Amino acid sequence: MTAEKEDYILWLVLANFYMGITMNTNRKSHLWMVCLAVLFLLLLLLSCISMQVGAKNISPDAIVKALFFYDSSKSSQVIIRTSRFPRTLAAIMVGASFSVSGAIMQGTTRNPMASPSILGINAGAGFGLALALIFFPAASLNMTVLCSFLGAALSTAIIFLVSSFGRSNSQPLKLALVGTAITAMFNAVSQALAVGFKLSQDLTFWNAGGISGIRLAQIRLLFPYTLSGLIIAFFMARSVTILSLGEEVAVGLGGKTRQIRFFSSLAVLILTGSAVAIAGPIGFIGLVVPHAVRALVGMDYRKVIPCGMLAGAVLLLLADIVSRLIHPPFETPVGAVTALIGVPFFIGLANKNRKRGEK
Amino acid sequence: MEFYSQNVDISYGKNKIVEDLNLRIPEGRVTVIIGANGSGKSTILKALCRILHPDRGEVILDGKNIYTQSTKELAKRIAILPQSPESPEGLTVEELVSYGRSPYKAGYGKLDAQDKEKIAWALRVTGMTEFADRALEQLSGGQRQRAWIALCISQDTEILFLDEPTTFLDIAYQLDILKLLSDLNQNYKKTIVMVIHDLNQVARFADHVVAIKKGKITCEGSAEEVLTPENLKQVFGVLADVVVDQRSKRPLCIPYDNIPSL
Amino acid sequence: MENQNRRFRTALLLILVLILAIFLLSLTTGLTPLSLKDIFRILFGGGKREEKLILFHYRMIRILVALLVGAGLSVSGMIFQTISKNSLASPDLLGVSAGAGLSVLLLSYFYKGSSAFGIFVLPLFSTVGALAAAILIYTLASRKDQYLSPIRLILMGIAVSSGIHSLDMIVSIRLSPEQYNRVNTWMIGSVFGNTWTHVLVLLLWLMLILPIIFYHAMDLNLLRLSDGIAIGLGSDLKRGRLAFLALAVMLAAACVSVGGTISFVGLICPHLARKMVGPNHKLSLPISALLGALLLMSADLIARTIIAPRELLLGIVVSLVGAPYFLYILLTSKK
Repeated sequence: MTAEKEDYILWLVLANFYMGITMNTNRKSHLWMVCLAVLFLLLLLLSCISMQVGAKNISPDAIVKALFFYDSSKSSQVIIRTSRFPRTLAAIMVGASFSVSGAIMQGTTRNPMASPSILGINAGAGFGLALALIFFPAASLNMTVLCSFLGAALSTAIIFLVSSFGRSNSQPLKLALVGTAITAMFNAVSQALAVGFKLSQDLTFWNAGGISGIRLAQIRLLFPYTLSGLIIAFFMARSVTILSLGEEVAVGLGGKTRQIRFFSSLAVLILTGSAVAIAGPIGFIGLVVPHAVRALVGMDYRKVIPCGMLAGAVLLLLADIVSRLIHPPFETPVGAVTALIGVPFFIGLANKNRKRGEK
Repeated sequence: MEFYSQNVDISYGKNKIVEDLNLRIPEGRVTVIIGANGSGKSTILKALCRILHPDRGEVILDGKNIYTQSTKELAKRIAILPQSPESPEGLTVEELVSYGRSPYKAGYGKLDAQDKEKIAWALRVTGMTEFADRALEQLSGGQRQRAWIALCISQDTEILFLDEPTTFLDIAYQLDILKLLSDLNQNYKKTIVMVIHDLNQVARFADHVVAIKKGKITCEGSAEEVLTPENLKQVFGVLADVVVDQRSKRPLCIPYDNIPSL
Repeated sequence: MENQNRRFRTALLLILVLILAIFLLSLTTGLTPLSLKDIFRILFGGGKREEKLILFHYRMIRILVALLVGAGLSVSGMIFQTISKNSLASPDLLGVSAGAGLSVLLLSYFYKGSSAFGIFVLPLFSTVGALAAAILIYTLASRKDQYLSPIRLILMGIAVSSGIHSLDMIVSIRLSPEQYNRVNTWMIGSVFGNTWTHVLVLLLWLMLILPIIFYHAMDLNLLRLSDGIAIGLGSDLKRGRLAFLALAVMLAAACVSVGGTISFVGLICPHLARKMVGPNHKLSLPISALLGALLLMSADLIARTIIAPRELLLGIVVSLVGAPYFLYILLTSKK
């Protein structure tokens, strides 16, 4: 079932590519197909590894059996079905969501620092989720997801207001600062609530970014959100490219900037909200991946978004596998692993910006 | 006063911007540095007033290298107005101008009668007295530039460096600022060193012109000596007629074409 | 400038009166209400043993700690915003809170012993952690042969604090729930559970550092201007930035070690102070310090009374007040 949907997304990617292919014939246009293919193969490979390794290593044979000829009396097959398979899917979905929303944000704000975690959208979603945990402890998953969306929407709205009031989207620093402040604010309130209602450590567990305890039902529930977010993102890709050239240029090229901003914010919201609802605010994927992808395939978001989607999935799968292997049988929070990759990257990025700023 | 640079080299990363610069600033004159974009003229100005430290070479003021002197002592002799300076929101003109007295103050720096006199004088000379209580961001571009100049002259130095003081101002304000500087030079004997783009303003206000190309001095001298068709071709890569302005008897440059790039 | 001075005097008077009023109100309010008359009686040597205990031990200590911590954090925030030339910069990006938080987490993780630490173990640890993080950020942000760039300072602050927060996560999910709650309470910030020794040490520390900062307010003024202007006015950028940052870190580290990582004080009080008397540090620094003291003292009073007999954490109250004000700053800031 999911493989079909995976195919469907790929088909969408290809369709989008062919629709736009007339417009670009530069040298990199082949490279990006190669990238896409390599990333896809990597994704398959890592998915297999992710099913195999962990506290208990499981043979490929058992994996195939578990997926297609399920026998609930075999413990290894049960592990695959209830734990490894869901978390593998979750890593793919969440990784793809974060990196695509990061790419859209960087494109529309023209800001290299933009990403769900730095701009405080993760914290907003986390705040929504904390509210849900506290006030509707028995609530359905749907309710929880909704709260997380609303939280993400709240911080997106704040960012949006702040950046459009100033009319200066080329101020990376200000957005980053606003993001830190929004994060601090939401975290403080969430923490306060958590302490007040004595569930702070639960919240921390969730904040640390966990996909280890994920269940198939959660994934089934959230998949439509993720999918619709990705579809919007793909349809917005061309517009994001136009907007990434600057507000005036975009208007000059006939882009409806208001509309573009609205739909891209919507995509960011849906993707970030659902990803946070599954896995908690995992940082840095949305920051790192788009940069890496742009370095490979160029500035055209019709290429960046599909490649970013696969690359994000690959990165989070990898981080998840690493988090299982660092200190078995304990799991290290996957958010900590991505931060270990992300922080040096961020520092490098800051250095690069500095150089460019001097010229 | 004797002020000159000696074998100054400056580079950003691996790019050499300025090479072996030997430049002498004449006392009591208005010196203007001209050159194409990226020629290194702003860099030279920054090195001369110690904002940038060169890789090699010295800048000598009265026999002493400025890079090895206390920056606070130098602030009593050299004032600097960089390009588009920023100020914190809400700072009033008078407060800003009072900062100009800080080189003469230790620690907390309570202003005495003499300081207050200098501040009032700086405001008066620049015509900013009536705006003393306004915040800088409430002023027009030209007024704001006057406020910054007031800061520099309340510092009471003999040398004044300005990096493109007329950029972003309309033509009336440009003239206004340049006349103010000229007045400071003639009536208060200040040595002025600046970068200006408009060659005709250079011709009118400069006593000494230094033309820079690729970090080196191509020619220097009076405006009449430097602003010739031959030099303009070499420094800026433009073909220009130079005529004599009937009103000021100074040269007037009329560029009419680029030299086709080779 | 007469204008500014007049506003300064008005603001100063107003805040001092408010501080005095809240101080007395705080002394009288609590589970055992004491009237002002009682207070003066106890202060001048009268009063029963329990009354003395309540006044001197419970109320006075926490009020004074709130006062001192508020002033310290606020001045430290002012310095950071000035050095980073950005009034939106949160002094949390100095790394002090993050570093202190992580070291206290580690302390609780490795110190499995009985429930309480010695009274100076925790402050000492958090100070060491705070300094380590601040030095790391400074080292990353400064480069050879260049003035420390404010932008790099902020970016490295963001990078390092988010890195430390993810390390926090690794440690905190391994703690037992009780340990975790204790650390978390400290991290959110609370002025409860200190002793007179803490008050005295903190007071001495502030009396040592604050005068140095106030005395050099003019240097701080110059550092807020563009680099070229500041150099022209005789400011030694490299030394000035390093010295003021070090002072800010030392202030914040001391405050955090006693009061926990209270956020928003250092972000909003400097802003409010500049709004009242303008950006000249000779005026805005003292106002900012007093505002910080006032804010924390009032927040502590609210925290004690709003859901009495239970207590809210001080840090929570500050956040609930500070966050909306910060939003307001964001939405109205011009640049």
